[in-house]
Amino acid sequence: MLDRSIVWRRFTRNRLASAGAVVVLLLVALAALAPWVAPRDPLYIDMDHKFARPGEAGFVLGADELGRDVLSRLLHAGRVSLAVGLITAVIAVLVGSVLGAVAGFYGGAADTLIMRVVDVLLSMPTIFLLLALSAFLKPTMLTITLIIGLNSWMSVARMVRGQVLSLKEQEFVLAARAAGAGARRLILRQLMPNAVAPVLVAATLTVATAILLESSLSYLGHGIQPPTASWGNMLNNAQTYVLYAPWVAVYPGAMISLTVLSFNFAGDGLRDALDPRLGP
Amino acid sequence: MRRHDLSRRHFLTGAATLGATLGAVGVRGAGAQAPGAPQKGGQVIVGLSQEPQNFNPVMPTIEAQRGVHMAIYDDLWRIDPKGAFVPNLAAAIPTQANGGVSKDGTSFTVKLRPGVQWHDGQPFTARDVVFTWKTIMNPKVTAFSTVGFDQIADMWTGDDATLKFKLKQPYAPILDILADMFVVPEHVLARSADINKDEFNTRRPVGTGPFKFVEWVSGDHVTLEAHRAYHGPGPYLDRLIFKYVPDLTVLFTQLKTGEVDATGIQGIPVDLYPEARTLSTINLYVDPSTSYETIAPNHLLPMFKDRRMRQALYLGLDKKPIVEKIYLGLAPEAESYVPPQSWAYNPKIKGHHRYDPERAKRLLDEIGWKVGPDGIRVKDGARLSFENACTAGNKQREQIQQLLQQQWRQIGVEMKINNKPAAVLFGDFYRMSKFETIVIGMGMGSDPEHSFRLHSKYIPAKGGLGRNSIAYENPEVDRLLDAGVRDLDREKRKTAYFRLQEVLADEVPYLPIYHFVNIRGTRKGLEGFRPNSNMQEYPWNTNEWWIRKA
Amino acid sequence: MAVYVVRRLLQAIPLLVGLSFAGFVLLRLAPGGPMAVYAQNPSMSEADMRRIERILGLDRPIHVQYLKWAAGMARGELGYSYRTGRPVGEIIRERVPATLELMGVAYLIAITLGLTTGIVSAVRRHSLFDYAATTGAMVGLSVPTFWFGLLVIIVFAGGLRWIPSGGIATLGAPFSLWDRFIHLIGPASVLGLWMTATWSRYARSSVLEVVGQDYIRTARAKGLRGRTVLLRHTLRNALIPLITLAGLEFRNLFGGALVTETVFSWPGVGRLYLDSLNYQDYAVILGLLLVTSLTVVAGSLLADIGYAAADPRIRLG
Repeated sequence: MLDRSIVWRRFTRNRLASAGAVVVLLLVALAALAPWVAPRDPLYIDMDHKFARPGEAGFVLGADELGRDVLSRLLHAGRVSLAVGLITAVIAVLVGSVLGAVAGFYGGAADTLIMRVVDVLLSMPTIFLLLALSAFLKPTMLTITLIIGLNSWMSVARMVRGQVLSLKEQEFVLAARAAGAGARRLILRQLMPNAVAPVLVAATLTVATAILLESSLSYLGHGIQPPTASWGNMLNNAQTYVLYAPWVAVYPGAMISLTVLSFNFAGDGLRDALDPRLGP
Repeated sequence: MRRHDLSRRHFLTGAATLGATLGAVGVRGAGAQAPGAPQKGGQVIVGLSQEPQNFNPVMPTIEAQRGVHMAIYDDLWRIDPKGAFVPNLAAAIPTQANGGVSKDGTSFTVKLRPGVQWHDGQPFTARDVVFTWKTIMNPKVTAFSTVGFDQIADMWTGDDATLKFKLKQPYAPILDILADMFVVPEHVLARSADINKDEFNTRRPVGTGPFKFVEWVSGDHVTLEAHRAYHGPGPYLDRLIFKYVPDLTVLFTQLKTGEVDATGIQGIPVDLYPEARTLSTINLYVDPSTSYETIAPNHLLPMFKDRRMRQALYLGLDKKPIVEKIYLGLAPEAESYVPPQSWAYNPKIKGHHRYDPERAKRLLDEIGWKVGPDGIRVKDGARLSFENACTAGNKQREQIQQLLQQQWRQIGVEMKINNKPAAVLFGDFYRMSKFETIVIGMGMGSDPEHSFRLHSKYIPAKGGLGRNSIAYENPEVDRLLDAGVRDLDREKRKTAYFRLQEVLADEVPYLPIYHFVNIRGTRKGLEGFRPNSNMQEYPWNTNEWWIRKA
Repeated sequence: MAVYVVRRLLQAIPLLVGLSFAGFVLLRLAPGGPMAVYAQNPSMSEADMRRIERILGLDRPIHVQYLKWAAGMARGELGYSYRTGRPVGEIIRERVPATLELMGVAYLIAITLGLTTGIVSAVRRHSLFDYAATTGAMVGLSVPTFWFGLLVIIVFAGGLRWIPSGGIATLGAPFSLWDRFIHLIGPASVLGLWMTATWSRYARSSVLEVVGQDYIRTARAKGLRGRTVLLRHTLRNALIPLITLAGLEFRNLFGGALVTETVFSWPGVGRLYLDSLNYQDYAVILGLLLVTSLTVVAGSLLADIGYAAADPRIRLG
């Protein structure tokens, strides 16, 4: 493990990464505070203000095809999109770490079984699998998150398994084992902490991928259903209005890109900061 | 769904006096130029947002596919935009006056047009028509629909140019049914080992229509070329191409850039109408239809069995913002399943429905649904809350749903949206009445017969074999529907349907919102294009299409 | 080597059987069915629906249907489409060329552009170019593919009229390479640029990693010139691991192709998959799942073989 202060110093010196992290924190804060920050009810329909321009009649970022406040919808949709991303990452990390550690630590039949399942899932294009599943699961925020999450743990599992395999014969582990440490204790106390760095990076990047996937699903007609707004379905809904009400499309599009970009920068910065081979 | 339900027409008096006129309304440009004499040559590309895949008109079909069938095949007669039958393979429309229909209305003799040729050069005869009907009725064939065809007791040939058939009992809509029967060649298909999987269906269809099949490039387009030996006027075009463009925004862009010359079945989304109006390169058509959009409750649920509940919901529904803001004033409000242009429309029900949330609230109070702590009404511990479904991704419907959700919330009713893909929605969920409420388009056609949708003997969830999936049961409605279809005299039918509309307006078995309009665009220079709400897909007269050379 | 390849292929068999079984059961348990879409049309009565489902065997128990399908599979038949009655193998085969064309060109764009920018970024680390390329790659990865595609169509096809707004060729026109090329530009760039971003990032980090290693330092210390070191030692060693990436990226490429094909009306397998899902045409969906996963498995096998061939230190077995 690297010294925390070194990691911190490296990360903060990387301007793009720090900017990414700041934006991520800002977005999460805005989303969390959406009910208090949003100027209006995001679902309130006001047909008299259909496509109100930004600034018109108090609609800061304009109104959409049903006269709903775009700014308020963006903030509330952020909760949904970020939640999809973050929960997906949590699922991917939890499922991936547990299965990866079990496979690596015990080897044998468990390893074979888990790795074959990984192979099956990795042999299919993610979107193909997501679409097949969403065809018969009701597309709510929860199911979409679960579907994406359960399709994202495989790389984490491989990574953790690799780490565990390379570490488990090392001296400090052997020593702990000789001292009578149980399997669970070994995995949790000795092996996992060493795998934290790559897993953390993978988690950050998973958030970005999940947010993009959710928007693709919306476009293909299998995304989160109205009236719940996500950035993905807002953007998809807006495609017909691009030319005469661009604000309806531009803002959700920008939010997706900004968020994904920030997570990617932060993830990259984290990777560099955690890389022991690079100098301080 | 814009396809007509069972459009039934009064045939005994002859074609000339038929139904209401639902002509095309050229909004701008259309008809501004005198058409002049058709010029020959050129090709037209029709953009479709669904892909036609099966070119055997007997097999299960979607709307987009039907347009291709109409170019390749012929039916005995067609229905023109004014609602009149026009002979096609038949030499004349059979009527009692010309001796084609017996006194009791059950025996028919149809003289066929002489000299009609299949695309492969073989002569067309009455045997082909008999073969087509027998194929449809063959229990081993996955024929799309036997509805109405099963009313024919037998069909046989007089001679090569004479077709005869006999009905089991008088059946008013038979001419409409036959207008949707596209004749397939006996000499090709009689040899087929398995007609359901024959290459004819997808690779080598043969018809008598104005255009011959050339190729289908899967996922991309279908190419047809002129059938020079066609029996009618035209075809004037050399080639007719149907192009598959899944994304409607892209389809519209292609109409703008001239990559397609006409938009297909889903036409131009109403959201793009304002932009379409500004384009000088296209003719725009706003074409009324006989289909209507409605909210349908599931009458198997106790909640909706109470008429006053349905009345209250309808009172709490404001159609104005839907029609004026979502549909930009293009679609007329619907009061009943019968469109105002129809001869069967009862003018007395106009204004029967009014938006009156206060009365809705009083009505709900009266039947014991009191406002609960969260603003949603409660009765016996149950909240007044239900789900509503429509085809996922249908933007206009989703907008209507969200608006309704807000309107009903104001009278203390909670509606939750739960949309599904078409292949799920129209499975058991809809057919076997497993939904709570649904937003759906229903078609009437130009005849007011509507038994399939409303008669209690047609409830699939109760063993019926029709499409009364809202499971509505009312003896008086049954009686009026029976009277309407049994009587062949229009004045007597009118009495039945007028009364039916009054009963329905009071009963509110479903909540009509508006009548559909089709918005269509064609490139300037494409002449002969005539929208026709009486045929289920508009490329119905492609033989008359031609291109004006600049 | 041959033993290794055979073993890997044999390993794929249980994978495919498992996949087919899981896929079959999941699809059949889904509500709706292949005929449901047609029920939108009210002239199809409930009686018609039941007759058709009986003829197609859709009314039989799931395990009976699976065994019948699996028996066909064992003979190498993928079954028949419920929509058209056509053999599934044929349906898929005629869609493959379009997807290969799109994916191939996109791959080419991604590898050439991606590797070049990645390597230059790494060599000129912390230069303006590096920052621009890194940021560009990140932005490329942050825009949803469908959105990028629609913008390309709206701006370059609808507005500027530089490229067609979809399709694979001009309809009704004779075949011409130029025509095919101009139709490819839009979808191939959208799909390709998204992959370019991935490639350039991997290339950059891979080169940086090799540069930091001892033998490169040794080579430099020996006095070898920068260019020689770069070409002879660094690139060779940095690019070999990327062969594995080529195999892994195959899977993502299919996903990207599905969205791109929908936006650009491209008649490939991705669009076929989506259409078949919308109609619940089970036979075609399963066929496509099997074919794509077989392709992905074959892709990663090829990548592994290529990796072993390029790097003498790796021995397969």
